[in-house]
Amino acid sequence: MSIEIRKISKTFGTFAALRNINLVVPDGQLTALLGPSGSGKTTLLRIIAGLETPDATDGAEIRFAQQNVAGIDVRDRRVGFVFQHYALFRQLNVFENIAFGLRVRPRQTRPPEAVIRGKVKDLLKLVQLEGLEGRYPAQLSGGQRQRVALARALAIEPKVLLLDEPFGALDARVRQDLRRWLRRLHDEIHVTSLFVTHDQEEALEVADRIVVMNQGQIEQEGSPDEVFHSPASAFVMNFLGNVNLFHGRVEEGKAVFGPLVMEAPAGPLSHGSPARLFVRPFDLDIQLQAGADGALAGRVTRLQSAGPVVKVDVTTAEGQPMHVELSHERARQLQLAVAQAIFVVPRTAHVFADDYAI
Amino acid sequence: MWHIGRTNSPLPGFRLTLGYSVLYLSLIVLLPLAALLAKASAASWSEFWRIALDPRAVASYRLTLGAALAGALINAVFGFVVAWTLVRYSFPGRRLLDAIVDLPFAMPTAISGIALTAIYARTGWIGQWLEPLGIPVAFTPLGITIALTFIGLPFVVRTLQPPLQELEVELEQAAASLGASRWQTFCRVLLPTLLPPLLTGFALAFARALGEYGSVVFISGNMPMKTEITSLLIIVKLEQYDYTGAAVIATVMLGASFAILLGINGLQWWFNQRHRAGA
Repeated sequence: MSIEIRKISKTFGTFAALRNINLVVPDGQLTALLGPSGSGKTTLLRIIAGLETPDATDGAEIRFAQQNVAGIDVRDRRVGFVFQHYALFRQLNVFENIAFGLRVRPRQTRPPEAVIRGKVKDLLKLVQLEGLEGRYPAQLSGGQRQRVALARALAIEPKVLLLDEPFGALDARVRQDLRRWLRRLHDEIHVTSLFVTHDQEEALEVADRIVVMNQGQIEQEGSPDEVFHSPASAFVMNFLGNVNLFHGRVEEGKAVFGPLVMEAPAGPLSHGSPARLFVRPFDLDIQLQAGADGALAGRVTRLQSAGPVVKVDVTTAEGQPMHVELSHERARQLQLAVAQAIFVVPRTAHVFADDYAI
Repeated sequence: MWHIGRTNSPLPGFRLTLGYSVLYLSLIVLLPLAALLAKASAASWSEFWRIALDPRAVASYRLTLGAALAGALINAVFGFVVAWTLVRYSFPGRRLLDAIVDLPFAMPTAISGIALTAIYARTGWIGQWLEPLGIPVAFTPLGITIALTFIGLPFVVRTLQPPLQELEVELEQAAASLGASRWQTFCRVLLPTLLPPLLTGFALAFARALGEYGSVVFISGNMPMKTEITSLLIIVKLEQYDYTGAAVIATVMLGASFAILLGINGLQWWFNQRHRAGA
């Protein structure tokens, strides 16, 4: 079931948490709401769930498929909501936690005991917790608790599944396992899912689509490839990974950063207006001689080759530190040494108008 | 000697503090209890039971236990409501209300007794309306129950407030998102979580009420067989220089209190075992 959000705003006192959000979450996909804390991503998720009410704006709508659910109480909205800290019922065992949503149904629609048992068993199998149904939440590990929370949310056959930082409270290792597992699970059950995260790696790895949020607004939405390789703004570029930043200005239609001359970004940029150049560390190459194109002169200050790539710290002639990542093969060719004079050449770079302060 | 304590625990001062704790508890708690038992043992076995099962004494046990139980139960219900209101809602005068809860703690019990009697006596503010309805309060078991409810209230409220504050809102939101009504959320999620502290509050209020004296003696009227609580009976015996009799009845009360507290602790242990084991 797709989720459509129209003209949703939310103000807490004088703080605008969300400003006129319009968003479509496609049916059956796993979408990530990615942004720093305070960007409004959790507020948006809670509004979709019905745990928070949006500002009363003309035309504000939340649609599941075609149905406007904005006026429907959270109890009747049939959303599966998974909390960062699990929110399991601690006096109930795993089985009863999962069965909770079925047991609280009105008598007319409550499934018979045998059906509840069968369903809980199926869910236990789905989340790989068979044999643990008699345990209490306090007797489970963090990863197991989160899977119980997921099974509990799925028990009500939700129209959409909403996850609020589902891996936020877990160790790095468990977190990685669990997110791969979530991806596989989603491929099995295909319920429209939306999850909030501030971890770009998590979003890039798990999601079909990513919605990048900043200061209550959507900066960009698209596939992981789109947002990573074609960031729509300096914010997205910066948020999705490490960057090297250069300040320069627009001169005669070109963006000039010292010896580097790039295509100016689209938009009404006048001669002399400031511009920023963002280059990812792995989009930089090191050469021993200055080539025909512009290159930045610098010196190697540190080499770190233990890892999947060789990390080279460089200080430019102007004194600016830069981070370069080379393949081991390339590093062997160059035979770099600390304090060696080299030239840094960008392969791919993104130029943005200077309107965003990091 | 020092280094043994240090190897047992990384914190210094284990032996000193343990020694102090044991000595302190012995002097303050165990010694008087031992003296009481010693005094009671002055009576022979048959004499002990004769005093303990004297009809007047039995009537006082029944009254004390009944009124204390009733008071603690009333407090468990209404103390819960008060604690809930104080924690969950924000309203003008909340701090004042919160402070009022402590009054029964802070007031000397004799003053509470006089105040309650003044209100519920036949000519008092409330008594003058209840009396014509055929509900006499002062000098009846009802009055005793009211006094015991009064002094027990802070125990329930103060024990429930911290766990109520710690209740995660997310639990209620999770229940709601799963389709539970407010009532179902309260019964199935909140109440079970709060049951152990509620039980503690109940036990404290009950224990306090069993031994209460000051606030009851004025309102009870102290008629033997009718409105005479056990604490008062003990005083009466003491005033008659019947130290052994007083000690015997005190021993019975001590045994009863101990059994009740043990039972409630056992119940709590059982709760905690279920939810904490292996954590």
